[in-house]
Amino acid sequence: MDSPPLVVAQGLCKTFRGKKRTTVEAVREVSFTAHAGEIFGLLGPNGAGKTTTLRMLSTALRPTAGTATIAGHDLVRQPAEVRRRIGFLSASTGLYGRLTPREVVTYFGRLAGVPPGSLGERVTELFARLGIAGYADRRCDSLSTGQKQRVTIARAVVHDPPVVVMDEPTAGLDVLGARAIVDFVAECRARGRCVLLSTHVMHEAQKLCDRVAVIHEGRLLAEGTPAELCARLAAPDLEAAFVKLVGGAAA
Amino acid sequence: MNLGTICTIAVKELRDVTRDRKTLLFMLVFPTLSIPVLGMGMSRLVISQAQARDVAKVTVAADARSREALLGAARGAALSLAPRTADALRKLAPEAWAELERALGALAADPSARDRALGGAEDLPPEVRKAAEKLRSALDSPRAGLPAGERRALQRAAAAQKLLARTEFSDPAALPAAPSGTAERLPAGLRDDSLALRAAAAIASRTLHAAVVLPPDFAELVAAEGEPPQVRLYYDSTFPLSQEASDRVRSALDAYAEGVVDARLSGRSLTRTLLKPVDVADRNLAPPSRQFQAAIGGFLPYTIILFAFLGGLYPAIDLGAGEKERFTLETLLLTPATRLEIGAGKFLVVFLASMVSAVLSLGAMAFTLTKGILPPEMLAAIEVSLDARALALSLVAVAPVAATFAALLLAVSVYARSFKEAQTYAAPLQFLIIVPAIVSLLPDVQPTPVLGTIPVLNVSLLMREILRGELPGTLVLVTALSSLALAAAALAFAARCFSREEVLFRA
Ligand SMILES: Nc1ncnc2c1ncn2[C@@H]1O[C@H](COP(=O)(O)OP(=O)(O)OP(=O)(O)O)[C@@H](O)[C@H]1O
Ligand SMILES: [Mg+2]
Repeated sequence: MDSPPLVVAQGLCKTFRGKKRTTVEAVREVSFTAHAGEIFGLLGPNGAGKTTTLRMLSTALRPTAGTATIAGHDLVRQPAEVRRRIGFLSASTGLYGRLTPREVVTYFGRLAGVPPGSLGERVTELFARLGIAGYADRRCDSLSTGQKQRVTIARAVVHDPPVVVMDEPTAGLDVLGARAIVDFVAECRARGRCVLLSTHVMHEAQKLCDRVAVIHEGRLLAEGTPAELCARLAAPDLEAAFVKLVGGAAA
Repeated sequence: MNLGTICTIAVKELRDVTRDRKTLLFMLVFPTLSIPVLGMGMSRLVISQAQARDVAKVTVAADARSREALLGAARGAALSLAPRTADALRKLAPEAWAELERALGALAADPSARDRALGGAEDLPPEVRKAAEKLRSALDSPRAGLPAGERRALQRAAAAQKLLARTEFSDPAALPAAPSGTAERLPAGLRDDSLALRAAAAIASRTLHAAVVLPPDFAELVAAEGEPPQVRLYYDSTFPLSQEASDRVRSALDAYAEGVVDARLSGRSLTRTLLKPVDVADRNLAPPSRQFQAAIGGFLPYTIILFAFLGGLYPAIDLGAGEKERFTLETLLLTPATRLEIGAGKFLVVFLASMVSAVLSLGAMAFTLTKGILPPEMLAAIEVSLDARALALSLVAVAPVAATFAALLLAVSVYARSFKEAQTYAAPLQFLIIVPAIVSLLPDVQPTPVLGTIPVLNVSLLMREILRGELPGTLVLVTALSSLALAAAALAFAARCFSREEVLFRA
């Protein structure tokens, strides 16, 4: 890849202190690099540490050790700069139910520092692209799951960040809803953005991701293009490669 | 800290919170309506209970002679004044006098009938009672020329007679025997008194309210002017109606005794002034504002502080724990806005809600106390004087307490995992706040600078002083400083909660 690296993770570790002095090493020494115009997928079984990794990259959690830079800004030392340059969404992020999509997206646009003069235009353009215009002025709590997810995406990218972080963006959506997200992600790549996403859906990852990393029990087991991984493990598709990798590690 | 960001957050939170019915209810409707409604309800209840007692039928056990003596005394109380009264009345209100004579008709031949009518007896025809009422009100006017003491005695006698007319008498011989164990519960001196035993049992079973025994030669003993005749009155003060029955009997006898004293004095050409060697004329120098304060003023700071708390409660929970519950907090924290800016924006909205609620409750209070929601007799009793300056100053005084509450509630709310948990934390907080607020109800607590450092208590005391018409400089300063410090500390805590991973992602 000759496009500039936007996300550089170096030895990211996260240890949670649980009850009664137990500790959970959720992420151990995860390093990878993702570039502009690239879709980078984090794959892993439940509890592998995907969400934790993405939360660290989005500055919600502070790494126990290691660090990462987002578009050249260190996430531990310059969290504010990092936040300006990422858009974050997960299947579980909610919306303000008593506000309308327009109000929600405008609010986050303002907080992200979109100039007030161009914000209205940006919101209208985003709503048109994501097909939200029809319900832009209804209260969010009256929207369906799929409609909400589109608003969530608009909210995450209203400031047009170079890096978009998505934690299981298609979870809980029907085929059409998932399709819309996939299209949006592909469009981001076309615009030269870097998309970092986690997923369980292997065929989706295979089609969509330029490169993937497989995480298991907090450790990065393998990294490469889907084709590389399949070749390396002599597997017919990504799913089979994934099962071999994770199953082998478990054994 | 970027003011623009704080404003953006505050405006959004205000919009969000005011679209919530529950918040509006607690912030606007509740403080506006609860004081007038409660005030009205309470005063109704108090008045109607007093009225109910007045008109209640009570039963008094008295043997035939005692009953005659008692009713005779009650009548006599009115009669003792009758001759002079009649004279004065005939001159003062000749038309009403003639009307009474006409109404009495055939009864006019019976002189005691007229006296009984004037005494307020209720067993006479309605037109007679109406005419007598008219005459009596003429008597109340100072122009009637009756000495004030006599006028009062007459009124008392009439009232006592009226109450006795609503009293039934029963035969003490017919009272059932007291069940065993009654004696043990009576005061020591009464255990051998058989009437006391039976009356106690009957009062406990609510078939009787009092028992009275007058000596058989009651009237003669009074006339002899020797040892006064002893009347035994049995009642149980823990039963309101028993107390009422006892009061009725006693007031009839007291009115009679007063009349007798008057008669004895005038028989010796003496006046009542003989019995009152000293006349103290006290002049209360307290200005009306302070009298008001002493009467109910302590209640005012307490109410306002409570509403300042309640008004901020729901917005605070909604803005903190609500964001977690709806999974919006993480995205908010991932914006470039700093934790302190987020905290400050939210704080402003909670503070505003708290102030709005306090202002409304104060307005509602002022309205209730001055604009005729309360019945006139109650208003007269509390002598309200709320001046606009004191009201305005108390609002300024409530600001620090509202700020403290807003910051504390927000901190608790951000710390809590869920809406429910935040409510659980808020309950003891409410208790902690009410206790110091109640202290303002104690008139003797002086506003020392040391007390001025105690949050909530200081504002409560300060408001009390303001409503008294004073503005103690030291207290103002200490209160402002300590409130600001506490609010700042709570806000810092809230902002720190926002930054702590354990609090944000508590599993
Ligand atoms: N706040 C927390 N406190 C303590 N332990 C946590 C916390 N968050 C996550 N963990 C633990 O860290 C490990 C990794 O969790 P994580 O949510 O990152 O997994 P994941 O790959 O996203 O899984 P899933 O596919 O189920 O979403 C798990 O064992 C989890 O229990
Ligand atoms: Mg996850």
